[in-house]
Amino acid sequence: MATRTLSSKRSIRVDAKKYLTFTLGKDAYGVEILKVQEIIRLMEITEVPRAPGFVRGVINLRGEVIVVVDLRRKFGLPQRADTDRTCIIVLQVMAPNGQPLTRGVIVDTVSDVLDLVDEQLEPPPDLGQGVDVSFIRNVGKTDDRVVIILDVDRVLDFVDVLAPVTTTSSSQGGEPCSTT
Amino acid sequence: MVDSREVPELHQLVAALGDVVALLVGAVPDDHELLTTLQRLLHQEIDVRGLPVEPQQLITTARSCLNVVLEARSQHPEEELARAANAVQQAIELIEDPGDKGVAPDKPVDACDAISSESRPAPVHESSLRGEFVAEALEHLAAAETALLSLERAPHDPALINTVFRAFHTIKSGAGLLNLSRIKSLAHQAEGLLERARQRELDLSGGHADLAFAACDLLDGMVRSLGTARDDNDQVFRIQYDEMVAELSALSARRPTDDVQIPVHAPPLSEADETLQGESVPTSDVATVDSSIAAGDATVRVRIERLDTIVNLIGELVVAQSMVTQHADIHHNPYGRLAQNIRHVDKIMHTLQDQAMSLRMVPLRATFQKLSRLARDLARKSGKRLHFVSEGEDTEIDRGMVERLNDALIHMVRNAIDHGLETSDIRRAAHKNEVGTLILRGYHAAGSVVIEVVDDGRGLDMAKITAVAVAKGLLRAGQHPSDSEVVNLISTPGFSTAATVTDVSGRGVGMDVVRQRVEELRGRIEVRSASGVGTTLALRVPLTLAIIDAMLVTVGRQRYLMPTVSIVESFRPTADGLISVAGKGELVRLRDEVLRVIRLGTFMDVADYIREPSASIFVVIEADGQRCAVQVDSLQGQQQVVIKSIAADLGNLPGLSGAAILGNGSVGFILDAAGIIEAAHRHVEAPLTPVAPAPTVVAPPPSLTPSPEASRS
Repeated sequence: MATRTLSSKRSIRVDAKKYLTFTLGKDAYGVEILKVQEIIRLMEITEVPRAPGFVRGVINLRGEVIVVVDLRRKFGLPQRADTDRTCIIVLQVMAPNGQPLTRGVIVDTVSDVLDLVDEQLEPPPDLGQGVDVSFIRNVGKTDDRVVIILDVDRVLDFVDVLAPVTTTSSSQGGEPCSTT
Repeated sequence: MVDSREVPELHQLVAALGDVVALLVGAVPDDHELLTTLQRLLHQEIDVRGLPVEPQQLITTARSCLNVVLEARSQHPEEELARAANAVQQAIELIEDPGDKGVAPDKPVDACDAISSESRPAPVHESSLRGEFVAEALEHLAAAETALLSLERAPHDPALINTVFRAFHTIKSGAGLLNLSRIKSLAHQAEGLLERARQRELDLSGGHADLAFAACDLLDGMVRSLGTARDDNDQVFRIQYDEMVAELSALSARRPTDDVQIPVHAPPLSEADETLQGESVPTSDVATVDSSIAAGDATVRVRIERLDTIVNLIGELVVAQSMVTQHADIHHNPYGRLAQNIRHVDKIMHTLQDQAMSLRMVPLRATFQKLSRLARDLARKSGKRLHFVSEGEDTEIDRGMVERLNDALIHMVRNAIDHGLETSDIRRAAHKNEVGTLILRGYHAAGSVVIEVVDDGRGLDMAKITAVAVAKGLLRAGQHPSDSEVVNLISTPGFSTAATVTDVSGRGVGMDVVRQRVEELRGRIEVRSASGVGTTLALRVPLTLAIIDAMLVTVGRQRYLMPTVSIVESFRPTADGLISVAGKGELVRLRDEVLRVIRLGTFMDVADYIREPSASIFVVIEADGQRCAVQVDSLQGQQQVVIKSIAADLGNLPGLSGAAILGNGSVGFILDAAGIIEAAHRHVEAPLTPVAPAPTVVAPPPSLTPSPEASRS
């Protein structure tokens, strides 16, 4: 976006892109602002039976039922109680099959919007074996902060995760229960 | 007969046209193969030469309607098909009885006429047809005007000329059907002008273009006046009309070799003057007509998605509003200004919601009209005499529902005529009226729409049904099926008692389709039949697909919605009421029935739910003729909820069919009775109980209110 509007004045930082930053614990994360639909307060979330743990549930976003993912749970961070500042970022993501999806992520706080140019973006760090960094797109660095830029399409792509979970747990859950 | 041809040949022609009508009535716009065949039939196989002008014109109309559908030029291909069928039908009637212009009141009444006069647009129907004609004609005129403007720059563009030609042509045929002779002849004359342009006999520029524009304007005015006037004899247009027709016919009388220059027509009498000028703006006359139309039957075509969005948003608004209304501040000060204002908003909101729901509702009339045509053709084909009656055509139903019910209704009418009604001989022998009666009836009952197909035929042959059922192993020998079991039996795929498979029915797929459709729509089928007296088949479907009645049940901290249509009853078992079968699950005894038990808490993986059977409630659910008992913590009462699709990306959630927004704005999941029952049966391999497999289970209407004892939790 910035690229296009400023393309006539090449001397300015033409490739600067805007990122919405938020925190989980003490870490700062960012998502491309073009993917963000809106930010809403935490509302009543309905649990989805047998869904994986990081799926907090579904909400009613003005009549549309959307899935909400708890990013703390998704990233294996320690759980903490929701606060006044806990909120849901509603994102427009692209499923692997090319279908646009609306999804919510629960974050601790939303911070600000950050301009970053390409030189400020570094490839995801190698954290060694066993640490999945595939959903980190870049690490953005400014003078005073480090922001982990997420590949939201990957973070929120859990069709493959969900499918086996549903089938396995359906065979457990479907079991007419034993007597108590 | 006026016709020059031999009578047998004419009979053949009528028979062929009859087939075309029958096929057209059943055709869907996507079936290109069938439509192309029909097109060919109408164009080549059926020789209309030598016929009187009127049937020829009607058949031409049918051809052009088919063309429109085949080239996908219409947004409402079904209407085009119906129009084509109508036109051919009228042509048949005219060929058969040329003296009668289609509306003879003094026609000798025989069986077929009895229904043909019913199916022919009665005055009431005509007004709706007329509304469609007006809307369509105005669209065509607007397109013609645009094309005429472009023609001034490219006077020979055949596509543009065709557009204008088609506009006049469509109006002509439409007006012909509605007996609007003046509009028809004006359109006819204008069509002639365009035909000459098409043949390159004249240029559509200068004076000719003026004439074409003026014809458009005049037609526009006349068509608009139909909104208020009874016919097209409006005095306002008389002078202009006479002059225009005179001018056009004078032009067409002139030979092509004649002087093609015509003067820009002299200004006629004062009042008519402005409208006749090519580029004239609508005069005050037209303006007043406009406003009166707005007061009458003016319609706007809106894409259905937009409508749905509005309906959805209003639903949300109502929920949001109820959250405001229930806010503590309002309760603290119920007589304050704020509370008063909110109550006022509340009232408006509910009116708005009612209106929004009614936006999607359409009367059953159009469906019934199609079916009456179908009934007539089928009766004719099978040589039965039929009096067709439709009642309650104004009953409104969700537009989406009516589209999906069409198939089912067609099958029901076919069944009634092919299997139900007897031939005249048999009826006479049985001391019944020789002419059979088929009643199509629609009405609202308890939040549902009921559509009944009633025939006074021979009734269901119970002996035969039982015999076939026993032969197919669906029924034990000596068992007598109840009415609702009969529904299940006759709607089993492949179940047919017909001795011969006719091209109408008898393949045993009909009722199967009906049941499938109706269940998709969360409805049910009821049948009442008496041997020798007749059969009544009733479809009971909800008013709309967007809203369902559901029982809110809780299990642990979770809440689910069970559609009331799936609920048979609810009860609380005694402490020892549960029978557990080692490793195979649990059963519960209800009166003399033993049901499989599904513990919803375990099924849905809920942490803390009431496990003690005597402290919980068992809801008996039914789907596809099978039942099971679902254990829940409590029932929270019945409510209407707006259905939402589950976020598509959650994949297939077993036991859930959708989501809905609850009263407090949160999401609730709707339970899928069929899925739950299926899961119950999958995990209990061998049938352990006397509960016989489908489809022998009874399906009484659900008792919507739980028994008082059961509702206490």
